[in-house]
Amino acid sequence: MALAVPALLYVFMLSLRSPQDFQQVVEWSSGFYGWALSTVLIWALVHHFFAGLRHLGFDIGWGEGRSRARQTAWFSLLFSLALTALLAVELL
Amino acid sequence: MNPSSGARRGLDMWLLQRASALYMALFLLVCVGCVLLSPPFSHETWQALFKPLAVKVATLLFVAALLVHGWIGLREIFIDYPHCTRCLLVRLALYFAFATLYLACLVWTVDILWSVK
Repeated sequence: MALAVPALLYVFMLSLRSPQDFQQVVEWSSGFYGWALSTVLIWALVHHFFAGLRHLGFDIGWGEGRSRARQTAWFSLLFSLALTALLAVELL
Repeated sequence: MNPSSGARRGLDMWLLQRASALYMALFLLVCVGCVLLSPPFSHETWQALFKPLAVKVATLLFVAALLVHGWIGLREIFIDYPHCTRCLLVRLALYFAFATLYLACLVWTVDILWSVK
């Protein structure tokens, strides 16, 4: 993800620069490699998002008990996988 | 640990990590809401979205938060991981490389956003 930032900025630049470049991005992202890469990046982001919310919960003292922490760990893992699968199908 | 290796600023970094996370989470929720409300994007509507100054500023703040957040995460890794005799040198080289890359990204983002007229 740390190294994806410049690559995503490049895509962002293309998408705003001109209609031709925008079309290029659309075509590229709708191909198989574009779809696979988007799915991996979405998974990384979504997982990080929910795992991060979990840690923000810990900071305010929520869910620090062993069993609750286990529950939220599994929940964030599985929910992120489910949401990624849903988005991946949506992007097909 | 030698202070020049970046340690001993942990609490500031911890707070900044949370603040940037909160801003990004709110920004992303608004983004998802906008995309769900008007999904079909053409180049015109996409570009029109970034015309207002408020959107430019909010997006720049998002990228800044992202870079700060990423930087702090990398910093944790660089503090923990290089196990070697020349650790300080390796760590400072990694800080330098990513600081340069991320500062360049920030300036680049200003250019990308402000080229939308």
